[in-house]
Amino acid sequence: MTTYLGRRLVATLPVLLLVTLTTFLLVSLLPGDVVSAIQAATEGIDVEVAESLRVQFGLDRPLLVRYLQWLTRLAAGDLGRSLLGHQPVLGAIVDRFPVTLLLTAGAVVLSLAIGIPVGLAAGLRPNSAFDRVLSALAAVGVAAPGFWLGILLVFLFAQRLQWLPSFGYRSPVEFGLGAMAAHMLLPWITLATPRTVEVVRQVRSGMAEVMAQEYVRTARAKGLPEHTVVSRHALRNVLIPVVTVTGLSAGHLLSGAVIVETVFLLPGMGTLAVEGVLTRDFPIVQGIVLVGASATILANLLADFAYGILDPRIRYD
Amino acid sequence: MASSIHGSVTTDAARPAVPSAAPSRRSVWQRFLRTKTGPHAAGTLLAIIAASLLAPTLAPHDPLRQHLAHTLEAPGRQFLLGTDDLGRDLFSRLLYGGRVTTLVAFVSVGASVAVGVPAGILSGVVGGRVDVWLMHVANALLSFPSILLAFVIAALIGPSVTVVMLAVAVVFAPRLARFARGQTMVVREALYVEAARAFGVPLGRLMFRHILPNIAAPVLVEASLQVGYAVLVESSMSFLGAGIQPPYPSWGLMIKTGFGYLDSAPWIALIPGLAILVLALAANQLGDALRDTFDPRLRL
Repeated sequence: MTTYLGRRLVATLPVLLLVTLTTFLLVSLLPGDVVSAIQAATEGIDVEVAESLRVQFGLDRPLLVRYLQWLTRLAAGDLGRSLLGHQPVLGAIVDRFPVTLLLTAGAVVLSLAIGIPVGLAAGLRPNSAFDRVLSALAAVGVAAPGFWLGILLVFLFAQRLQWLPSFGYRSPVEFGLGAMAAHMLLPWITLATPRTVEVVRQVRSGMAEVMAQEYVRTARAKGLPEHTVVSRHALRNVLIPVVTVTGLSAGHLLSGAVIVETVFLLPGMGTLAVEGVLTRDFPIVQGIVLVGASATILANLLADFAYGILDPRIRYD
Repeated sequence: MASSIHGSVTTDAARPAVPSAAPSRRSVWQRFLRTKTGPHAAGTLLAIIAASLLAPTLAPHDPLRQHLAHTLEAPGRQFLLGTDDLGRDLFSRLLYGGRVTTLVAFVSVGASVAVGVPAGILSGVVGGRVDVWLMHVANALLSFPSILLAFVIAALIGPSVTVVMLAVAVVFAPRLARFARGQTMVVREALYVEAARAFGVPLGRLMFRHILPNIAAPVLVEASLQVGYAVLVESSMSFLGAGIQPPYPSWGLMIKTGFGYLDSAPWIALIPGLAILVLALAANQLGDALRDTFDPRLRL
C-alpha cells in the first residue's frame, strides 16, 4: 500500500510540471502581454516607456528563462502580484478561497444526501414507475446548462415566490449561519444538480448489480431480513465507488463554481478568475488556473487513496 | 465479475475477423431504429440543424434589427417568441443563435476526434515512453477545470467563432485521446493485430486500417456524448462573455441579456435555455442509442 502511494505520488509530479508549463504558456504565448495590458489601462504610455517596462518585467528574455524564473518563484509560494490591485496573487486567492470551498463542499454534501437514498430506492426496484420518472429527470438534469438552471431558480424562488435572496454572499462569521445558508441555498442546488444525477446513476446501477450477486442470494437464503441484506451486504459495495466518483468530480465542481459564482455574484475564486480574464490581469488568471488544476489533481489523488483504504480487495502490489 | 466482462470485450472485439459475425449495415440501421431514444434524438438533432441552416429563410425578421417601439414584448403574433430589450425578434435570434451553438459543438468535437483519436491509438499501440508522456500531457490538460480553461483561452486570444471552437477542442481532445487509448488497449492483443504486426505492416497502416475500424463504434458513441457536453461548454462561455460577441446572437448570450429582465420579460432567458437543453439532451440520447445499437450488453 505505501509503495503504491509513493508510486502514485511520483507519477503525479510530471503531470504537475506539465500543468505549470501549460499555465505559463497559456499567458505567455497568447497575444498581448502584461505591458500591453498596462498600456490599455493607462491609455497611452509611449513606446519607449513600454519597452523599458518590458525590460523591467524581464519580458525581453527568452521564454525558457522566464518559465524557469517563474517556476522558481512559484516554488517559494510567490504567484506574483495583481496588475490592477497590486496585491499578491496568492493573498487574493486565499481571500476568495473560503467562498468557493463553502459552495463546492455544500454542493457535494447536498448531492450525496439526496443522491444516495434516491439512487438506492431506484436501484432496489429497477424499471418501476419511480425508476423511470427518475431516469427521465436525470437526463434533463445533466442536459440543462448550469447558469440557466440558476437563473430559473432565481426566477422561481427569489422573484416569484420571494422565499430566498436572489444573489450575494453573507459570511457566516459576520451574519450568522442562517443568513449564509439562505444566500447559499440556490447556488448549492444549482451546482449540486448535475452531481446528484451522477450519484443517483452510480448508486442505482451499483445496487441493481450487487443485488444480483451470489452473496446477496446467500444472505437471503440464510433468512436474513431484507433491510439487513441491503445495509450489511449490499450498501458497502455500492458506496465505495461513490467516494471515488466524488473525488474525480473536483474539476467539474470547479468549472461549475465559475458559472454559479457569476450568476449569484458570490465573491469566490470563480468570479475572481472571470474578473481577471476580462481585465487581462494575467498574474491573477495564471494563479487561479494553476490553483484550480492543482486542486483537481489533489482531489483525484485523495479519491484514489480513499478507494484503496475503503476496499480491502484492492491490492496495489 | 469485472474480469468476465473484460474477457467478453476482448473476444467480441476480436470477432470481426470472422466474416459472418460482422453485422450488415442494414441490420445496424434497424437496430438503431428499434432503440428507445434513437429515432427521436436523431430527428430532433436534424430538425435543429435544419432550422439553423435555413435560418435566413425561416426567420421572420432580421435578428439584428431593433424595433424600438416594441421592446420587451411578450410572445405574440407579430413577434412569435417576443422581443428583447432592444426590440429584436427573439425567434429570429433563436434561429441564428442555433447556428453558432451547433456549429461550435460539432466542429470542435470533430476536431477533438481528429487530433485525440490518432494520439490515443498511437499511445496504445506503441506503448513505452511515448505512451507515458502522451498520457501525462492528456492528464495535465484534463486537470484544468474545463470551462475555466476554454474561457481563459478564448478570452485571451479574443473571442470569435473559430477561437471558441479551438478552445472547446482543447478541452475535449485529451478526453478522446484517453478514451481511444483505452479502446486500443482492448483490441491490441487481438489476433488480427498480432498478425498484422507479424507481417510488418507499417505503423500508420496498423493504426488506421487495422485498429481504427475496430474501435470506431465506441469512439462514435463517446464523441456523440461529448457533443452534448460541448453544447453546454459553448453556451457557458458565451454567458461568461468569451463567446460570440454582441450584437450577433448566441443562446448563452441571450440568456445573459434575459437575466437582467427576469421581472418584466422572463421569456428572454427561459426560451434559449430550453433550446440548449433540448439540443444537449438530443445529443446525449443519440449517444445512448448508438451504444445500444452497437452492443446492447456491453458498455462500450
